[in-house]
This record gives sequence, structure tokens and C-alpha cells, in this order.
Amino acid sequence: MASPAFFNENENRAYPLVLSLTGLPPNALLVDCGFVVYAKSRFELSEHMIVLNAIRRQGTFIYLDFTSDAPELFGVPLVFSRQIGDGDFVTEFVDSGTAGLSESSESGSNSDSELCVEALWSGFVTTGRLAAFEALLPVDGEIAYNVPIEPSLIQNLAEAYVAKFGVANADRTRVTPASGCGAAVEANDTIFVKDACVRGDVVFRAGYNANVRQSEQDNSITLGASVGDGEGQPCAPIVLYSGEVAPDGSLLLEGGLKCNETLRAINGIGGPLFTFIAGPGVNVTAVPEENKIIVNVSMSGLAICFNSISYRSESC
Amino acid sequence: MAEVEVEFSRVFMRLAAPGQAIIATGEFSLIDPPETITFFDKYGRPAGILVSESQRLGVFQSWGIGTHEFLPEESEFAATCVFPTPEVGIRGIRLETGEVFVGDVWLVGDDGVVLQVEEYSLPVPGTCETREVRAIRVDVVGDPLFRRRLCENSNLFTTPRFVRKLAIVSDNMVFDAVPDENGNLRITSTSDLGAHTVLRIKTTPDGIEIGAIGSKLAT
Repeated sequence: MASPAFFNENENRAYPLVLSLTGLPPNALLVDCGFVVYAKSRFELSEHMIVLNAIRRQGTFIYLDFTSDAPELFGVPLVFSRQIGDGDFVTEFVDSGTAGLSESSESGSNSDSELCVEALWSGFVTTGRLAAFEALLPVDGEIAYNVPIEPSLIQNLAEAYVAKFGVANADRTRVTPASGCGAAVEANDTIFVKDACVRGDVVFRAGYNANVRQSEQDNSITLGASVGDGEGQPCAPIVLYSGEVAPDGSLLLEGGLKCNETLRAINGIGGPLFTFIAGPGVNVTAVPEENKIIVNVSMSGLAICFNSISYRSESC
Repeated sequence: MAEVEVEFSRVFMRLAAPGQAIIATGEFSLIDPPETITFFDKYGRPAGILVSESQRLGVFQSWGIGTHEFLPEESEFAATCVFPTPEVGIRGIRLETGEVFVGDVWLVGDDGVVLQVEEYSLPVPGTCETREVRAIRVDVVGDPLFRRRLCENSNLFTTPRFVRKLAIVSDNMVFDAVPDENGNLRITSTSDLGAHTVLRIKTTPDGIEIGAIGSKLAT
């Protein structure tokens, strides 16, 4: 804990606020403070500031509002409070966006997105003489300020670490039904979120046809693919999201027909166009409007023998 | 402060730690010196700030052009100015392209790669115990219809209408002829109804020919 002498010195100067000619609250109100801005704050020391925005009184409570113009901190103030009757040189720690966050979530086992919210910034304030507050605001009211705090009191952790992983999968290529064969399936640009909050100790594991290689030399992890690696080849379709099922009329997750559900060859002859040829004694007639082919073994052009009539000829 | 490089219009300040190469760099204009100098690490991430005054930094205008190096004992910062960042944790994900990802990093499986999250029992070294951690599992299962996405305009691919069965109609009989597990259908002629059938079915390069054998009528 800082020596009270340090606070006494600060009672007589603008510190921890930046000295300016106008707009400063009484020096004795604020004797120390410090702030930490975290990974997602997008705070840049060269562009953004943390300012004392206002001092308010409601009943017996005094509030100090600190704000920042960093993109992710805009609209997310840190509010410190005192009650008339509190002692002098009281320190309070406040952070943003952690309400309800379990302290035991270090293992990252809770994938509830609300509980995965990380504080954008936090800070502490040491107030000076409560009497100075009472003198400033003897009744309910608010005094607006826009005084920056000393930049050296800001620990900027923006972009300093990986806060968490989010895991998702892009949609598979799905069958678009042929004209007249069913309704269209959902668009292929959908992203299915598996888990928006993977924190703590994380392991990359090889599943089907995959391999994971780790190098301590260059601190790298390589995710590779090879048929049969990892857990081998899958025996069943892998769903992109829980509850994914094949569309109506299909056994496949992507829709469409399986190999044995379409006529791919006749007598081993395949191809996009299949030809029926009429040989001797056979007529093949196409009826396109009925999607019909008539194969008539008419025996036309061939010499035949009927049971009731005998044709005595050498040809018989 | 490991070195200060003075150019005609800019000054570069480079910080280092004993036994380490340059860990952070800050720069400012010599023509219009600011009051603070922001430092960045080699990945472009914030690495600290130096608070001064324009008048003080203007002193560098009197320094000679070039690089001025300092020994650690000459330019060591007071301990109160240094905020060590804990080594624990991943501080960034860097790709081979050089891009660094920080904050919330999304891993998205695409083009036949599926990612899953599961609980995994990680052995504790030196013991027989395990502890539960989150695992990101990578499955490479392929995308069977990927060729349909190779078209620049997805509308270029038109799903064909496949023949799924043949409905055979003979006199009053109707039955469906469906392909086997390989999608093949066999059409053959047999002697079930006629001991000496003349019907013959033979394959051609493009299909089948159905015909009858026998003498042709004299013309």
C-alpha cells in the first residue's frame, strides 16, 4: 500500500489527472488511480484517452465516472462510488463486463457465451478527502468534466494476448434440387458455431484423416491431413452442428442421391446418354411426352413359323 | 533504451532487455515533437508509452544524424516504469503469412474440414492422473460436392435430373427395375417363358441393342 505521504502530495497537485488550465476538479478529490485495458478494448495510447467524465451525487452516494474513447470502451464506463461517511484515502477496484462470471471458470469448461464475457477494462481509484466531495456537491447533482488521466497510469493490454478461441464450421456444399424436384436448401454461406468460448488449457486433437504436429523449435502447431491418419476414416457422416439431419428425400447430409439410388449404367454401359438400338425384329419407339420407351419385339422383317399354319419352305 | 536513431525528420527509439534483441520501437517527428511516444513490439502490438514534453523531445534536433547506442547501465529505466507481461498464455497466433491474431480468435472449418470441441483427458506428467481440458478436434472428411463450388458463379452448375428406376410395363404387369448397389441395372433375355427364345440383348459402346435372331424374309 502506498504511503499516505504519497497521497498527501497528490492532494496538492493535479496528479493523477493531467494538468490543464481549466476544468479540473479540486486536487484533493482524487489522489491515485490506475487502469488496465484488456485485449479486446482496441485501445491505442497514441489515439485514445481515459478521462474523468463526471462526478455525481445521489443522496449519500458520490459517483466518479470514467470513460474512454477507445472503440470497444465507448459506452462502457467505469463507475466508482463513495458514501458520505466513508473514510479518507479509500481505494476501490472496479471492472467492466464481468457481472455473473464464475471465478472458477479458469478451466473454460463453461461454454455459455454470457459467462465467457471478459472485462474490457478495469481500474482502481483512491479518493482523497470526503469533505472535499461534500463541499463540491452539497446536494444531489452532477458536474461534468473531461479531464484525462496520466497516460502512464494506463496499462495497455490491447492485442497482447489471445483471449479465447471460437470454433465454427462453414456449411458444406449442398445439393440444389433439379428443376421440379423439390425446394431449394439453405444457402451455402452459413457459419455454424460449435463453441464461442474455448478458454484455458486447449488441446488440438487429430480426428479422422488428420494429424497434428507440434514443434518446440519454432513454437508451431501444424494441422495436416492424410487418408487414414488420426482416427482413420470415418464410418458415418460427420455433422456440422448438433441435430443436423439429411434433408427430406435423401439419406445424405448434403442432400442428393446415393450411388445406388440413381441409374448409372445398364448392363455395365454408363454415361450421360444411353442408347437403345432396335435390332432385327424389334421396334423401339420413344414417347417423350410420357417419358416412355416402347420396345416391341414385333419380329418384323424376320421369317417366322406360326403353329396353325405351316410354311414348308427351305427357310423353315 | 538500447539505441536512438536520428534521421533528418524522424527519430526512432529502440528498447531492449539485457541479453535480448530489440523488443520495442517508438518513433516521432523531429519537426513537430509530440508529448508522448508510443512503443510497439515487432508484431505491431502496443508495448508501452514514454511521457515527455515537446520541448524536451526537441532536444534531439541537436543530435547528429545516425544511430546512438547506449549501454544498459547508461539508459536503464526505473523499475516503476516497467510492467512485465506474464509469460503464461498464448499471446498471439501467427500464420506463415506473418499475420498475427489476438483477442478472440475464430477457427472455422471449411472445404471438408470439420472442427469440434470436446472434453479431453490430458495425462498429468509424472503421475497416473489426468485432468480435463478442452480439445479442439480436427476431422478431415472432405466435401463430396466440392466440384459444384468450383464454378465462379454457382448458377453455372445445374443439378441434373437423374434416372432412378425403370418402370417396366408388360401387358397388365407393372414393376420397377431399380439399380443395384453400384447403380447398374441388368437387362437380359432368358428362356423362362420360351425354351428357345430368339431375343438377344447385346451391349454397344453407347448402350444396348435389342433384337431377334433368325432368317430374314426373302425380298
